[in-house]
Amino acid sequence: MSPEHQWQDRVGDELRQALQLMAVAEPVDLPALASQVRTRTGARKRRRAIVGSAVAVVVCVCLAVAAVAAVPRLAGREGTTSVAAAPCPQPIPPEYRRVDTGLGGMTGVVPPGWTGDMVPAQGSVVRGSIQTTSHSIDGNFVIYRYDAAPGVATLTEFEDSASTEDGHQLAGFRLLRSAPVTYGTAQQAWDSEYEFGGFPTTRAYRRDWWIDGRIYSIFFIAPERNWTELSPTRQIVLEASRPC
Amino acid sequence: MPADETRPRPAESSARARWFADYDEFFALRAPSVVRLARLQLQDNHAAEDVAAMVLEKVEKKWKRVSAMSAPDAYVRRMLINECISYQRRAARRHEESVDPGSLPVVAQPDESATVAVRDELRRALLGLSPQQRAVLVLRYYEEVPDQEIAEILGIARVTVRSHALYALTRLRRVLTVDGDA
Repeated sequence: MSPEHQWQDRVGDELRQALQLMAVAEPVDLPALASQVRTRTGARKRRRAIVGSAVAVVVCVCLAVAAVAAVPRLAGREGTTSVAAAPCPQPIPPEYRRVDTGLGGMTGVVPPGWTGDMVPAQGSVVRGSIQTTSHSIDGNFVIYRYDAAPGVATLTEFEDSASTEDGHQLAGFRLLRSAPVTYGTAQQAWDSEYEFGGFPTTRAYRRDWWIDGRIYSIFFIAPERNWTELSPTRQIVLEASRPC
Repeated sequence: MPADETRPRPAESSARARWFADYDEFFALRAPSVVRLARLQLQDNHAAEDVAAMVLEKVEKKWKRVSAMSAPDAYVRRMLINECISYQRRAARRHEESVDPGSLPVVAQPDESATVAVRDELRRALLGLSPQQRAVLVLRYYEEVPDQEIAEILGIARVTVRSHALYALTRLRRVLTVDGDA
């Protein structure tokens, strides 16, 4: 062993002994330490309780504001979309194709040049869906959904749920419009139009029907830049698609 | 950790084997070692107890995960050393000495006064090292942790561990060697 290593080993041995003695020089007061840990844990729980209470208050205020905002819309029917109480299913132009979505009697409409494909159920809420698409690079599509056990019970909850997909917040979600829809006096649906971020910016029109505790939904989704051009198609699809 | 507080390793074949029955058992068996290691690293009893309590609280919070680990002691050691180093860096940023070496309590041991003096000198020398250099010495010579594991704990290369150790030992050589070979 080289002299260099010899001195390192000797100093190391001395240090080892000294550290051992220093470590046990003063006893550890375990009860005091346990008390200190408990104090820290208590402080953490208190902090968590305070934060939780603050969040609860904020959520309550937001829900109250949303509810207050929703009442005039429901009561006064401002901005209500009125759709004639037409026969169900509604006639469609000859170039359009009707499809059976298989979703609780909901009829679907496929625009000319688009295809209609069944897609697997998504998430725990959606019990089935059918998707029609233009198969264009722009990704215009319509989705029909049927939820036999809706997780939302109130209008406010529904509006809150619109900004999420399978529990995840939609990036850049912005509600543009929200209004009830009447079909004569027999049915009522709710329309909402929103956009969300990404490239390109995407816009969606959603119509939901509450019937016997179930929600039937149609989503018309397209890039924002196609929105105006697709307006006639969207109108036909929305008017001809409904649960019958 | 000191040998008197170690327990037999649970059988590898038992998937449900745990080092400790619950957090209370862990605390009773390991808290003293945690405090001692913090004391050696920080050279300040009050700060050491604060940091140890912080680490033990974190362990309690994550107990389900910690208790399922194959080497919970190594995990706790890593947490503690890193908390100590963070504490020392924060203290350094505040331009505060974590302790005044001159005010360190005299060790209440039936000791020779010369030994006490050497130990006091050792403390001063340790306080003159950087937090990482001190951690290398404490882990290597008190905890008997291999250099490779020290490197992993501190997030540095093994060669850096060796250079830290060499530098720190050179600094301590004057204090610890009494036979004049320094």
